[in-house]
Amino acid sequence: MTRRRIAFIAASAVVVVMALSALWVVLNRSRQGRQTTRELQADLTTLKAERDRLRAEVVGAVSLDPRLVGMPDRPFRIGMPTTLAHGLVTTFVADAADQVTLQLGNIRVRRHGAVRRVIHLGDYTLVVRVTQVTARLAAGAPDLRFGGDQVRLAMPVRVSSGSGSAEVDFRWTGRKIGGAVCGDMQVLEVVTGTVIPATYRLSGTLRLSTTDEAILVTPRLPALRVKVRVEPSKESWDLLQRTLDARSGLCGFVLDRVNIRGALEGLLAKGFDVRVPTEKVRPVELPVGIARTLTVRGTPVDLDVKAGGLTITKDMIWLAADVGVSGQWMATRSPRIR
Amino acid sequence: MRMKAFASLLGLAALASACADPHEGAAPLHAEKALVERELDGLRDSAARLYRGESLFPLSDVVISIDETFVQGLIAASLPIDLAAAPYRVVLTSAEVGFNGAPTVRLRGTITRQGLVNLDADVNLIGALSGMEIDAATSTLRAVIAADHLEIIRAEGLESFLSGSSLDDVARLVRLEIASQLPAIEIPVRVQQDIEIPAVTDGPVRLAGGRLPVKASVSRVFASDHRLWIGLHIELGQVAKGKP
Repeated sequence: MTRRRIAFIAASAVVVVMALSALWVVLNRSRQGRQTTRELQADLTTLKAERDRLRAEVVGAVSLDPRLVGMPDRPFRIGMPTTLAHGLVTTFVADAADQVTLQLGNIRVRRHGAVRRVIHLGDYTLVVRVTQVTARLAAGAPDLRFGGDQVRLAMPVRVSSGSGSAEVDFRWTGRKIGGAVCGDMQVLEVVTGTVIPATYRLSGTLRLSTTDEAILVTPRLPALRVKVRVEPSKESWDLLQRTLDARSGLCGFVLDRVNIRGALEGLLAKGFDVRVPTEKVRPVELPVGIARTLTVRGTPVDLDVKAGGLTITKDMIWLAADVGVSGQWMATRSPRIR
Repeated sequence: MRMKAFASLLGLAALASACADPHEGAAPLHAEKALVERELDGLRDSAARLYRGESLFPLSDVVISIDETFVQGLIAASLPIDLAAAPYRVVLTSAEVGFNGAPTVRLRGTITRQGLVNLDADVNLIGALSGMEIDAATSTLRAVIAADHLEIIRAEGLESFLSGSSLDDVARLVRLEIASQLPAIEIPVRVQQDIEIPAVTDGPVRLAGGRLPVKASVSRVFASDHRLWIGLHIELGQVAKGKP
């Protein structure tokens, strides 16, 4: 071995040792502040002991939670507290009822006849046409009683406010002396008034059922019949009365005999029967349910959902289901991730 | 001569023991610790409620309970997850969840690096479902996977000579890079954003119709006994009138 070669080997060895030393320093620096294996093991023992203790406490608390007692044994469960369902139904029914208006119009009552006093004085036609009655409904606080798969509902429904207008059209055709003295006559007046508030009681049931995805509330309510009564305003009566009073003599006698005001009062006193079509209230889904599709990384994926029915406990309404990613979709996936 | 050889061996053994790496085998323990700490976070939160005399869920909230197997299937449906953390590439190919305290997720796959120093190793990503919220666009629940720890398990080639600490450093950097790339997981719970009041426009009884807004928010998420538990707070707002 030449001296030159020995020097090269020695230099190489020095470089390698320096490189290894540098690496050692770097590694040691990066390890500073890190736990050793032994320290980690000790930490883990402590942490696991705490974890196991707390796990048992939480599992125990879940099993003792009265709301969770009796929940269905399915992989997927959605529980709606009955208190929440009560609140939702109350708000929904009240808000829906507040949106209801009753609209009546073009109701016509026609009366005709002759006025005699010894002789035939003339003929009259009285037409009272209710041009428009508008009333609003308002619901009071419903009384809901949960039992089985249905909720019994009793609720005050109030015809709360509204207005109406009617047109009074009186025509008189005088005959012989009546025609000579009073002639033909027409009284045309519009009477307006307000709806008289009245309260009705609506009773029925709300049936709870499930679709594959949601809890459905189906109302079963008997038809509600309300009577809308309108009371003419004092101003309207006064105006009509002034118009009638302006006629005197035979004309006044004729108007008194026909009793226009009485005819209008009679019509309004009977009121107007309105049937509220409760059967048109459609089933409503409670707002939390199971989605049938979801998006996996931008791709819509169908889910297999098999409804597990409805379970109603004292505190909760449970929707349960077996849910899985569609087998058809999974079949299209790479075999190594199935 | 024999005595000299024995003494030399003893000396070498002493030197070896003095140089024994106190961090040897620490990587899997770090991973396990990350998992246990995540579970403890969830458990301590639940326990604190119980100690305060509170229920695990607010009393008036909707309770959703989902089996861990189903959620594991949902995450599996997102696989493989291909993530870039230049110059590394992580491909996650299997998922395992454990819902006992916190909704923990373990994703396994490989990490590779092409270049002057190649790396080809298995990885184990420890995390948990986090940030559960209602996605306004789809009206479903969604969560992200929070990456708590990345463990590089087995290295081949030149990198097998790197110490565990060096791999830990690589793992930490890669985890920070890929954390935001993990896909969101959609949970198939539909939360309607409103309830329709249908309009009735014919006949003497008219219903203006409208929409009753539903205000919903996630109130609580925890995991226990192999199930994911989600609390939803629901309120109805003021009706928004539709066209009669």
